[in-house]
Amino acid sequence: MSAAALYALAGAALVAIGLHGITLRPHLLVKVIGYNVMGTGVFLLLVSLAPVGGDGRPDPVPQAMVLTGIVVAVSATAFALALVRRLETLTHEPRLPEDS
Amino acid sequence: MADIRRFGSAFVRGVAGLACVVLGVALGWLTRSLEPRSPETLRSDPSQVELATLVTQATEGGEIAHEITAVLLDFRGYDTLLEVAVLVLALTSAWGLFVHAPDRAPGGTPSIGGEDDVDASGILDGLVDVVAPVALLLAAYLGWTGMWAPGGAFQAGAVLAAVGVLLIVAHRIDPRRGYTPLPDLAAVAGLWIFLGVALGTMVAGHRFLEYPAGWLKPLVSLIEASLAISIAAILATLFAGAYAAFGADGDTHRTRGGSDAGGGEA
Repeated sequence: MSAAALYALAGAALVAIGLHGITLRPHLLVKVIGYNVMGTGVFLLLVSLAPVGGDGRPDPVPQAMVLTGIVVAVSATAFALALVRRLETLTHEPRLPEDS
Repeated sequence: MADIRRFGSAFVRGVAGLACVVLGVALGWLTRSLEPRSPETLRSDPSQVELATLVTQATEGGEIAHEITAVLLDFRGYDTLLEVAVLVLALTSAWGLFVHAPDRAPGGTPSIGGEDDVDASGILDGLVDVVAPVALLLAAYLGWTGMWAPGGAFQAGAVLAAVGVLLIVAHRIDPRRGYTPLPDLAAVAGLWIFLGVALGTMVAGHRFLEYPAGWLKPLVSLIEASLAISIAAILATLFAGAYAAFGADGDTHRTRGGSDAGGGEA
């Protein structure tokens, strides 16, 4: 198994773990972390599946997309944390009202 | 700190866990079938044109030697531009959550229909603080650029009316307060100025609505500006009247004595 295939399998596993965190854990911070883990898995999948160019160098287009994706994921995480903080200020509990 | 409380029934947890496992296995199987092609395959078969090869050819001898930077800022520059916009959007959204929150207790502000204030989070307040000035500028630009590009009085008036509606919904303007003549004056100003110009041309010796030479641009500018303000006043007043009469929930509310559907357009 080549290194790229191993990374791709790891990415798939991370997506599954992140989805578990988002859906099955009621704590909001765990959901945010699960979202980040899922994003990391997707990035790993994108980069590991990048085809190798004619001169042996990997395809730069998926790498550029992953760079953009990391920045967007960071800003989305920041906003998600702001929302969690605000909800926690209003309800005094770090979970959604229906999960309390 | 980890949360160890269980979520949902055992059946729900089992199904969700199984779904996660199935997703992981499916993704893994997909990746096994998408093995990247080897460099030998690419070199031997000229029909297999790779995006990477195209990028390499486009950046060879160019000003940006690094391929990823070239992709990010040159070939896919639009994506990067939108990514930066997303960053600013995330910040603005977070601002909206916290800028006004301490000043407004839930239900503290008077609501139109008498119900509790639905904007306890302060997001709407933050949004109005940011959007309203920008939209005013946009309306002015739209009205002015109509001279040589799509734009003009009606587009500017629509954006201005949207600003008015936003201010009403965010409780910056209270239509229930007593009657003021300003919105009605603004509503008819456009019509009167247009009529004035049309009849004025007759006084100056031309026919009805026949603009004299050399006066076209200033007269049209005057008409468009007053039209934009009028349209905004009319639309916002219409909305304010309906909002004051029916409230946010659609039920009919009795209006206080003295204030009928006349709105408050500041």
